[in-house]
Amino acid sequence: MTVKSLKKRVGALPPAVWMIAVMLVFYGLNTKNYFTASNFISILIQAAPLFVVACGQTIIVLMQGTDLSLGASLNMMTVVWVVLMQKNLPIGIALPLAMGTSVFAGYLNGLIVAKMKLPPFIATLGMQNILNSIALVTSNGSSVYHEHAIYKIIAKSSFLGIPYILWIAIGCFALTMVLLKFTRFGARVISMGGNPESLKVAGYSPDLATIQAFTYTGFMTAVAGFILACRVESGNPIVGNGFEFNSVAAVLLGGTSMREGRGGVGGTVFGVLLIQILKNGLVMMNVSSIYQTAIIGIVVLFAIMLDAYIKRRQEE
Amino acid sequence: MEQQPILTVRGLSKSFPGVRALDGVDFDLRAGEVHVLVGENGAGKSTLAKCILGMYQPEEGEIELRGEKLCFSSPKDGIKHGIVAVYQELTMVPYLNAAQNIFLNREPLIRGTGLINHRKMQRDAKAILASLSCADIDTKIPVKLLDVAQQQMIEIAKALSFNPKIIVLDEPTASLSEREIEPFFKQVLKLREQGIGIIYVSHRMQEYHRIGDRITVLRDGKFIRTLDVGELTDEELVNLMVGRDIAQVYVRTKNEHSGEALRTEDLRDHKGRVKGCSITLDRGEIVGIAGLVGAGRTEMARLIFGIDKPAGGKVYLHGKDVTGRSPSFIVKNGLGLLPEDRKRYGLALKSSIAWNTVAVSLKSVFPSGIVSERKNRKIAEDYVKLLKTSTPDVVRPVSQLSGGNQQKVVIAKWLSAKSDVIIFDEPTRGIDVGAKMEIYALMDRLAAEGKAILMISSELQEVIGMSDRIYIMKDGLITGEVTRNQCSQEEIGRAMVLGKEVEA
Repeated sequence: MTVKSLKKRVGALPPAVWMIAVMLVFYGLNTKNYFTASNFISILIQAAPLFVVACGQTIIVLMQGTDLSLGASLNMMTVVWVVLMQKNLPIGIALPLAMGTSVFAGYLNGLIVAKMKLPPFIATLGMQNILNSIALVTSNGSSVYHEHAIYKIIAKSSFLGIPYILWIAIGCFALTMVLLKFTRFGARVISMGGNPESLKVAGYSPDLATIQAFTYTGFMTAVAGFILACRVESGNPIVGNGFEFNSVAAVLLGGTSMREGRGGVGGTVFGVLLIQILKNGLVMMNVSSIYQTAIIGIVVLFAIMLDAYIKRRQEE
Repeated sequence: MEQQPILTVRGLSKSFPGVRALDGVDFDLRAGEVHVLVGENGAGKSTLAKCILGMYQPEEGEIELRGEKLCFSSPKDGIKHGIVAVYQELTMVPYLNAAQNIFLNREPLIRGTGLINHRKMQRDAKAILASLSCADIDTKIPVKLLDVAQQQMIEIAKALSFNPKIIVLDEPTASLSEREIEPFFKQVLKLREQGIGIIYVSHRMQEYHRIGDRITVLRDGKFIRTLDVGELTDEELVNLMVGRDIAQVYVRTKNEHSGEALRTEDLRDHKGRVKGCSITLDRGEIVGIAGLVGAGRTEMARLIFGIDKPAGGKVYLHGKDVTGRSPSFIVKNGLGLLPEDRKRYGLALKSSIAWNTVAVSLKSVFPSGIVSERKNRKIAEDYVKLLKTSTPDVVRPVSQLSGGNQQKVVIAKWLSAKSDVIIFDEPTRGIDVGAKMEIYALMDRLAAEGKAILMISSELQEVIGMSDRIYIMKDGLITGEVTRNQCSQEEIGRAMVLGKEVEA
């Protein structure tokens, strides 16, 4: 590897990586007992749902899109699942049905974007409102509860010393990684972001890949909803609010580009960790939750702007 | 080497809104020949190539491959029949590696899994690249990290991986530097030896001699003639392409030059595309800048206009130092720019003619800040009359006008802004010959009225026909300067390519 390409690779380091370093030093100096195993495990567990959602979002962003419906899709999934369980449906039927609603919503997103040629932003914004409405109607506007062992098993048990929730997140990571790197679907996604013309001259219409991508994102959202419902042991019609912004932010902070098909799910790991470390530290510093979202917004915007500035300077 | 053609095109026609791009064109291609398509911009070369590839569907005429009639609905059909292309703009995906780009959408799979067999793909890509004598290209890193010539080779490798019978090369050398062109030609000739039929679209005269076997001339979408390379002199060939005596097309009235309008001193940019250019331009003068694509001409115009900030040097407008000032400041001081890509940078396509006309002069036309629809229309109508823009009214969107009339709206925009120094960047690109002559006449009239015009053009005829003086630019440097009638087209052409000083 030449010095030049090495430089380029270092320059391609996702902004989240060095931001995390800054955060760790800052919190380490300002809070007590920061560097403990239990604190980091709790960060990881808290980060899991956002990470799983962001796996799907990574694929959408790679295709030059954004999916704004997945927060609402999470809301709907948790509510539908718990309500179905309340109706005494066996979990083997209730869970696939509930997850199916999110997958179907993703499929519809894909269909609208691919066939109606709507920008993903508009299509998924519309879908967001529809799904939120479904969540509120199904739950009557408040959390729904149900007694079942599954919640505790998923949320509290572990295998080989690693909590189930983390195993699920790792599985989603591996699946997304394999899709992007080792399937034609992945190559098409990267081509759609990098140079849509390349697919056209290869005689491939991107419609199918678009539908597949949104459907997969719907599936990831369903998995995240499963984790989330188990953690709060309920279905909640607003539990997923903010996931759409945070997932897009995590993807961008992870170095995935909205323009040129650059990036991947590896960087997203760091993007999600950054957001969660930031949140966790604010809690430990007793920053009121009403300020937290503003601080997260500022840090995220700052990091993305700084990254864009550095990239521009490098290109000049 | 007389033989049956593998591809025959008869009576092909294709129209786009407002222009008949192909009009009953005949064409044939033999195995193992390089058949060059020549013609001015807008003559229909690329349209013909795209019809053969299946990207466009012709309205009339037929295409036969080895006697079999073809009817393509997409490039996929073309590929199936062994017709592939290397496009003018690269179709590389920047963050995929060379192997992934070559086999995009046809990746070899590990049997029974749906997973891509990266090892086999790497091996196959390496083998194809080795057959092109490019085994040194790193097939594992994103192609973005490779240089343009290497990407071009990957593009060719991609085409070859389809085992084609026919390859269309559409201006393949446009993005290559001089040093990279010769190895590229060697590859093309190698393909020819393998019996592949090559359709070569180019506007560079010297390339025909180097690699062409036969030439087909198109003009205004019509088939003019097919001939062997060397059958005609360059001059005769140019006459075939242009179709009329150059003296008729380019009219220049003699007029006095008065005082300096624009001057640059040792102008340089940050990217090394412009490496120190000093030019002067007087009122009443038309000065041409000749050079190949990529010579840095448009980049220089952007520096002068303030779009990009110069790394060094000075720009003087009417003797006033405007170096590094913003475009709005520079426009206020009387500079206008007709951009190369007028649809993207010169016009708001969906807006009306009237609105485009006052787009940069809003402040002076409506000093109160309130827009008067009637006044706006009146101004636009005046310019329509003055410039003989052909349109039924001024309220329709400019997108409905033909290329030549769109260009007139851009000119009206700058005249309305009282610009007296105007940069014309490729002013007649994609404009048919009749409209070109009107634009030339207009430029001549503007110069006679004392405006200063800087013309950037890749069409040598145009530069020679219209300019009082010509600067020759190569690799970011001004390599020569000649005055009108001092110099032949061949000499300027040679200077453009080779960068040699022109003997004036």
